[in-house]
Amino acid sequence: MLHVMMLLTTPVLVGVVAGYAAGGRFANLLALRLRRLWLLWLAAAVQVAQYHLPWVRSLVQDELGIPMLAVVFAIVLLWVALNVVRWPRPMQLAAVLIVLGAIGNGLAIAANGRMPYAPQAAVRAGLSATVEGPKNEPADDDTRLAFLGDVIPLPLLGKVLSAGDLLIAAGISAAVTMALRQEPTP
Amino acid sequence: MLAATVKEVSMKQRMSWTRIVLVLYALAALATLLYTIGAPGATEGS
Repeated sequence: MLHVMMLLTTPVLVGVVAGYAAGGRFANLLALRLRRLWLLWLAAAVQVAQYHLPWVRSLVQDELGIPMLAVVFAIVLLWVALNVVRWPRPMQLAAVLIVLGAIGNGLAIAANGRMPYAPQAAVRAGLSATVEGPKNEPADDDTRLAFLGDVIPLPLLGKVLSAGDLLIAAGISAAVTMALRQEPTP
Repeated sequence: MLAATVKEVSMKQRMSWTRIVLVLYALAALATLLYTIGAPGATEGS
């Protein structure tokens, strides 16, 4: 759990440190307007349902044939689209990184139904190489776009990342840095 | 009067920090939702 928290908060913390080092201030975040935040919480609710409400997962994925990961991605990308138009240009460039990363992950998921992970990378990260979950499956010869899957082992954190994950993390760090540096509009 | 002013400033500061934390939390949530951090067990809760 601690490792997951580290992985999730590190991009924001890196962005804060870089932003301050570049002369930014927390107060500048107050100028950032985030619209339709409820969309993010809705996406989070869908993801929670995907993990913890098997009957919802079965209904949506098996009966309706809609991958819940695709629903999460669609809602989040809609939120980004609604917000990015009002963000300052440097933050828009950071958002491009985030969207590119999401597209990379989304393509791998769309091509395979779930995010494939490289079994050898999982082993190097100290994880099992055979277990399937709601979001992941081990890659094999039939896996498409395997290079976009989780192929980068992080043994220290016991995790496997994809190239898309790295782009998303870099984009979040850059967005936070730019947000701290932006000058408040008068 | 002074106490009321101090209270108002304090409330504004609290609201500002709440908003700052909300912005940072939203960006962290964005990453969380888009990550597909992988392999068995690793994605739970991510």
